[in-house]
Amino acid sequence: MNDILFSFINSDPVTANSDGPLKDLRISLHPNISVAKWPTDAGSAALESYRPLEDATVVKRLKDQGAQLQGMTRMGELGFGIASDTAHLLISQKKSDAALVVDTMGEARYLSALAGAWGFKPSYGICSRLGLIGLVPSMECISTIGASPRQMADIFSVIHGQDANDFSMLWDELPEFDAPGEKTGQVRQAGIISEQLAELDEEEKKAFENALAELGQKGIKIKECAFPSYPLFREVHQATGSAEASSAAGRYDSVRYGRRAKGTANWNDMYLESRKEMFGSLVKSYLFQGAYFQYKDYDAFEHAARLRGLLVKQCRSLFKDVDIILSPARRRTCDALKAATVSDVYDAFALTLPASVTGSPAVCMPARVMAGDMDLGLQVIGPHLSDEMLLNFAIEMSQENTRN
Amino acid sequence: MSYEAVIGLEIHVQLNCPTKLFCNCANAATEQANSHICPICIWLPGAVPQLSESALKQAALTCLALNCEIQDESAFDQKVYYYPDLPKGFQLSQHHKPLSRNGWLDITGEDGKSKRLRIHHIHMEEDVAKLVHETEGQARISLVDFNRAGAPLVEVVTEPDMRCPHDAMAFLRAVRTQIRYAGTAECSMESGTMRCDANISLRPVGSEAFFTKVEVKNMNSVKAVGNAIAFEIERQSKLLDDGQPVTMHTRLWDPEKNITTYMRDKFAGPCVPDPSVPSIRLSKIQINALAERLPEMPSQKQARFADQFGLTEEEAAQMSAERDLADYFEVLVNAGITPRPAAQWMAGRFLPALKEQHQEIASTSLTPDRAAELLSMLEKEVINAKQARKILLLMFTSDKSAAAIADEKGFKQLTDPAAMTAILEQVMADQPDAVANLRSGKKQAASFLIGQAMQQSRGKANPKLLADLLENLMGDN
Repeated sequence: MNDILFSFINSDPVTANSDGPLKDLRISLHPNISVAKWPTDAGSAALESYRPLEDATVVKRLKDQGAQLQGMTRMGELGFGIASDTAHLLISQKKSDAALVVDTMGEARYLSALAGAWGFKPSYGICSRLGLIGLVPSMECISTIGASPRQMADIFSVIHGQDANDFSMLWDELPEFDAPGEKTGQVRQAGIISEQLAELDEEEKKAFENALAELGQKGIKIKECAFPSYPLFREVHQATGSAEASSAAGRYDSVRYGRRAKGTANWNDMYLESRKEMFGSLVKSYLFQGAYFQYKDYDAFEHAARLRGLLVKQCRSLFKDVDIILSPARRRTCDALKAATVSDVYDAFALTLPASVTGSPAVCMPARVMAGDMDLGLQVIGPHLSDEMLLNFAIEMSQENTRN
Repeated sequence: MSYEAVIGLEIHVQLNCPTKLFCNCANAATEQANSHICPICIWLPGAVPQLSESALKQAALTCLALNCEIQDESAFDQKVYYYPDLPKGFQLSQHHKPLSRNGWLDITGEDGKSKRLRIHHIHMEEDVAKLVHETEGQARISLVDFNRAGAPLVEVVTEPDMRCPHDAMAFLRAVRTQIRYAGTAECSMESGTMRCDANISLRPVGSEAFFTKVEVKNMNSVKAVGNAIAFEIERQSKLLDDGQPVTMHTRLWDPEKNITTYMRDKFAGPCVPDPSVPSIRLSKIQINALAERLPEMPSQKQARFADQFGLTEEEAAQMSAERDLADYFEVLVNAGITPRPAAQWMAGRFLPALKEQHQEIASTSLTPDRAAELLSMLEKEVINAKQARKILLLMFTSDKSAAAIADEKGFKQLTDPAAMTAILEQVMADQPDAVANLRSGKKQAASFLIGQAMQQSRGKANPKLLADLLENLMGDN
């Protein structure tokens, strides 16, 4: 079935376990999260008619807990850019309680700000990527946007955790997360980054300062921190992300699925013509950038990988002084929904890229950073594996911190 | 001008391992196409590779067998390569951080001297699918069989230390012996479990720098590798002599015509690290535990055979060349057979007979304990060498013991001195000229007389006993 908001509607969203703890949750999914037999095309003609044989691990876990999987949202081609995304609309129009989306540059955080809802990107390596048809495997995380942080926490407690079939996850014991909302007062000291602040315009700054003042009233101390390497986040993300994307998208050859060009003379031409036809210009530009690093300047890619390690280290030492780092989730003037070039996309996600580069968890809170009636979202980044603290903080802030 | 060849090899070895490299599908050849497949090894979107522990251990053991140093950290890269046998667009291979480096093997060079050839590194990678080309009516179609896709391989990359076809062939044989000893792979070029590409370039004798290299593929035997290299040396020498440039490209060996032909320009796809396969760290303890699984290797065995059993260097080398052969030999020795005659019998009688019977040493119907009985009868002179040869052949097709066959065929050696003296006396009476020759000091006359006596006994007499008796008889007269 087709729909403006859904790319696929599940006619029977009730799962076998209709008494499970998530039975009242209506969840829609980005169509790059595999559901067996559902058209899972990642918003791209490259995956036209592709239907996975198996559920993604997170989908399996949601089904087991009784969640109602409504269908697939629409999304930007292969997850690059959100111009054609509908996850935020499903939430703001209350058609879904939550959406599972893939966050590679900040999509979940940006979309939640657009929806006036909550967004959560977990730490890299604690949610299985099995079944995620991604583009930038070292950054993408299955994330949630939803109307309440409690629901987001409930979903996270179900989908996170060791998957014996995903060896790329963290091997070490993962932190337990069984009782969302029970711990309070873990966040006392928040940091803001001078270099990031300097990039905001006056109106953004004012909106952000209002949000900080509100937090101050709740007893949270704010500290300005210097992060001289901050401008590197974007360069590192772009070099690493585009090169990984170019390599990962090499699989789209139109042979077993995907749109195939007609009238080609041999397999080589078929690949070339099909790839020419199947990819949109935005994805093509990104893949070309990545191919440049792959074929012409691998040293630059390696350099970016080293810088990424450095940024992770610097970020870690920042968290010695603060519990969380705060910023708006999006810019007032750089609209991701209108981004037409790779530069536009990176401009739009400038504030969310850092947590994707470092693999840090981040929550986006609604209705706090208001530029007029535009919700810029309050992004709260925690140290790696501080997911529980962040979600508890979100629940605390939403003032619905009572279990029933 | 006179040139020297500079040769390096890239050897792909398919590991013995129950599973594929990144999934639990069976790593076994099968008739039914696409029967050993799953979402991981047909490379569907969303699949996450799961590195097989047993494949990693087999690969590491192979590295140790080739004297390589296992690296503290190794990792997989996505090696870009577009072809219908790899519908993922990249192969998981270890380009930047291979599993091991700095290995070596000793070979005997053309001059008979020992020569150490260095291995640059060994890395793991996944095999690609198999393409089957057919016609459907008028249309030519290509089908893809994924049974082989994702099979665990190691690639042995040598330093360019080889100078002639002999070096390359000796190196391949040495690699094969070492790996077969370790038990980690079959290493058959004929069946494709070992594949070898050769990089060949020339340089003027005495020069350090060399000309452009050419890669040659498609050799399906050790001999073919030697032939292809010899051809390529010849071809490139002519080009250089004619003042034509050698360009970097890949050529195919044509075993029918014994020539190489242009295949394609050299292509090296870019590699970015794969974020889904975790990096590999093997601790010293793990590496030592693996090293303990290595059996006594050929060079150690050869030294022990020479030392413990008094074999000559050549005999010891021969008896340690293959693990199954060495094991067979040791069973014979442990059963009490004198080592050198046992080695000589194996090389001179047993192995040729085995080949004739189309049997393998590991699975032959003539088990070593049965052979030991035969050799023991020979040593105790219950039978003579000629009889032993006949019994050997019969033992391949019968499960009877050597003694039973000897009984059946009446192969008991004639050892009664009275009867043998009678035969000798008859022969001496019939051959007075030979007797006279012997008396005048012509030693070969004795052999003639003994031969005649052997004939008279229909091969049953003990020739050594005959010689003793003849000496007595001559002394008496």
